[in-house]
Amino acid sequence: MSLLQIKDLEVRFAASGSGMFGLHKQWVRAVNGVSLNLAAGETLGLVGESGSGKSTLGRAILHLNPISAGQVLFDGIDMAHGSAVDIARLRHETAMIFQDPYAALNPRHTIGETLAEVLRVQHKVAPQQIARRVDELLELVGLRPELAARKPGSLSGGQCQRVGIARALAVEPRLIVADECVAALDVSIQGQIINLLLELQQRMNLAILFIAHDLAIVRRLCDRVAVMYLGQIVEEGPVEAVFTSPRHPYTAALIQAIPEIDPHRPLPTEPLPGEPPSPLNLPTGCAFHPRCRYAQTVCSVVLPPTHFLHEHRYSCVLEEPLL
Amino acid sequence: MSTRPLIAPWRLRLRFGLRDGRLTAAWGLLILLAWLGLALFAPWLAPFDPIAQNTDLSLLGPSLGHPFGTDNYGRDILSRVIWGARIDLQLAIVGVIFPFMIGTFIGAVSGYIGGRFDSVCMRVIDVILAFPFLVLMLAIMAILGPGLKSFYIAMALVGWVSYARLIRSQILVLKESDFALAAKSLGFGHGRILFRHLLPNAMFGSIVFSMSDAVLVLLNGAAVSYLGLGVQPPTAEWGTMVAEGQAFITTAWWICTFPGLAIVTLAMGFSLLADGVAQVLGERP
Amino acid sequence: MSLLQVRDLSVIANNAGRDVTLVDRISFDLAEGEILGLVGESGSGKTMACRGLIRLLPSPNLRVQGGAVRLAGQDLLPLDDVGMRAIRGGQLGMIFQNPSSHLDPLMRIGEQIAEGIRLHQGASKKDARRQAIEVLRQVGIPDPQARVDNYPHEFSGGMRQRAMIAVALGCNPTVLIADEPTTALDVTVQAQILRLLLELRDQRGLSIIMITHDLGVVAQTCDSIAVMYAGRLCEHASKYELLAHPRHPYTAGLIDCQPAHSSGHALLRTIAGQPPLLDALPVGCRFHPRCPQVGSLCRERLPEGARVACHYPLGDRP
Repeated sequence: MSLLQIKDLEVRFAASGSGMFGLHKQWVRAVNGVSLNLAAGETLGLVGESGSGKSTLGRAILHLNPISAGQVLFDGIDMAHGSAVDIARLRHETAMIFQDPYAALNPRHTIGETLAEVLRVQHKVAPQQIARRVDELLELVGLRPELAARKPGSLSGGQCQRVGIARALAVEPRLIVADECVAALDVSIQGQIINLLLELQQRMNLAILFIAHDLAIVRRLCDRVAVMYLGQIVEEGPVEAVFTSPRHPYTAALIQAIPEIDPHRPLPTEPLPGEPPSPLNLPTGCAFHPRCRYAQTVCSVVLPPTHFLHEHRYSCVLEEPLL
Repeated sequence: MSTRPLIAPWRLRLRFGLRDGRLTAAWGLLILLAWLGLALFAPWLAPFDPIAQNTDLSLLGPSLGHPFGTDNYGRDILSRVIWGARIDLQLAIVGVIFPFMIGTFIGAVSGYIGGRFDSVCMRVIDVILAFPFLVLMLAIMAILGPGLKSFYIAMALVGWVSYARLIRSQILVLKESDFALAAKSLGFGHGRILFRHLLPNAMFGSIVFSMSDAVLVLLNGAAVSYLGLGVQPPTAEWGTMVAEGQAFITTAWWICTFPGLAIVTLAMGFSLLADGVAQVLGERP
Repeated sequence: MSLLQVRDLSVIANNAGRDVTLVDRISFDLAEGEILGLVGESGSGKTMACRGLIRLLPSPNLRVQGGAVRLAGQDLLPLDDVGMRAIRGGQLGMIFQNPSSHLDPLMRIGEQIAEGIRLHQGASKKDARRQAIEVLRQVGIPDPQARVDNYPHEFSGGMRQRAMIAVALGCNPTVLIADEPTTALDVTVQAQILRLLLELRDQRGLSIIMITHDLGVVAQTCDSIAVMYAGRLCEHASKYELLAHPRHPYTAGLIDCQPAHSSGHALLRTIAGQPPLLDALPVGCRFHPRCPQVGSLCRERLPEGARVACHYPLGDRP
């Protein structure tokens, strides 16, 4: 059984400033009927452009955002309608890593205090063992234990991100949601953090939901990838299958737009036009049809069918691979 | 290679600027400590009894015996200014601490909980702000009766609103921050998130404000005493002294000038400290 | 002769009375119609170098020092503020990473473009508006006649970046400095903006300095690449030469770090350690503590060189 099962998950927000006195509420459909599975020890990449709802989805899974409809089953228990006890269990077995390594740490607490607090609040180790465990955690993420006395402001971005990972590991989680956790780092540091995640994942059998906009990293790190556009998963499957033969035109455009360091590969002459429309008023039919160069008349009317090819699925009227 | 600096003059300004923050704070602290010293050691430092009247000595100008002169009851102004420091320092500090604590608590909880509770708190604050500050204070003190205690109660009832608004706006921003979300994802309780994580990061602005607020409280105390609702005669208090001396401003200028100067220097001490602390803390988050 | 020549340009910060060199004597040339990619990690000084070049330093405790900056033969460094203002927004345009914070939110897009045109070319109001519409058309804004009267908040992220390019282009610059112009954008929109910059180069013969941390972006758009590390220029060559045969170990490391191409869970190659702090630079070559092929000279002497600043460049050894 999967560690995490998401069924028809929807997250809606009331748009700010909607109508006079909030009478005409407009709803932002940030996550719009998403179904996903994540097995223990598996890494799933979730990619999409800004506003695609990928961060909202990640937070909804951890019950950090209100869920409007659908189910999030963690270990078979529905957390969307979970009791306080269920949520407490979820908190003990999941953790999150953030994009901005500085903003995710309390600037007034030392690294040691930050880690010790998690251990203390969650009763992970006996009180007299806390100091030793903090040192262990720091070594686990490749930091010297002396750094425990420092505050985030005196560390580099890469070091702070390692602290963020150490804090997540302090929970001894089975699932980590990593939200753009290397996007704010320099390339040479990015690699170090990704390697660290790879090692930890193999050593501890962690399930990771890796939210990113950088497809190259996802290809390197993940087992499977799900592509999100305007709150929906348009394509999902094993990384190799999706990258070598994308079926959805959006996935294909994303892959083509990756700037690769091959000087002989020119820029795409016809990049994908336009930008994602506002999730306030989604296009009818297939949400991608206004930007799609393969769009047919039917695309603007009905939702595209979902095709399944082994473990690979996509939602589009097209039937042939695109690249 | 030429080493001619192109924007050299800025260097000097910057260097002084940085030292300025600490220097300003140090000056402010020095003035406050000086007044604190005078207040603590008043019985030994004051040359005369501050309330002993002697009509033979009334309205004497500044001299060696009475450096600040005497008032219409023949009391030594210097001694009264020194003794007055006890009351006025207490006024400034107590008059700030209660509004600070009440306002911080209400603002923090209101901003963190949000929703209907927050709306109610905000409306209460709007109502209090709709009245002129001093008028509201005088109304409360008129009900409670004159005296220092009712001054403190009135300050606490009216003064908390500025702190509540300051803290609330900070909490509203901070509760959306990543580290607040991180704390939530780690299963920390609301009390821990609010009071251990958010509040310490939200206090900077209101701590600086509290020091400049002390100046306002001091002036308010003086104003209230001047109107006869605060400290009662014959207790030495600077505001009351200024009020009493007002009648003699043309004939005996020293009666209100010296307590007035005392108010000004104490106020300056607080505001220098506030400026300095703001500059020093502002350098690093 | 090249259009822009930079010689021994330094940018120095005064930090509480101590001088810290952010950009250390960099020199490069930019030919007409050339796109130069200035690549480096954060804190490498790539942005500061360009800010120093047009003297738009973000803080008064920063100063430009030394050398020469010659634009079409004219040395810019001796110019005073007024002279520099005529150059900026005139021959030298600049676009930034975050268009939202560099466009005036209370001013119509058209007015922001026209303002520069009127200021630098003395055009009439009507004429400036006509030119603004024309520039908006060139940067690919659909329906420019109507869009010219929009406010920045009515534009999407990609459109705002186009509008900022239009503001910079309004005064017909010969050199455009683009500071991370696509970092804040999504990949599909990034591709659109990069294509636009290439087209502008082809149509107008515009020279562009593109500041970026993304080697992928420079590989696809630039003609030549200059790599910066800890305030120094460490390698500068045509993109084909530099990407195929990097000679500085740092450049080679950067290229190896890219996660692109291969997949599977093999570990990425990385450059060990952290970039040095600029106020505590190592003696000798600034890269030597992280360098895999460090030699004895590296710990003693700062390497110089226009093509590659390294004592033991790659491909040189027997």
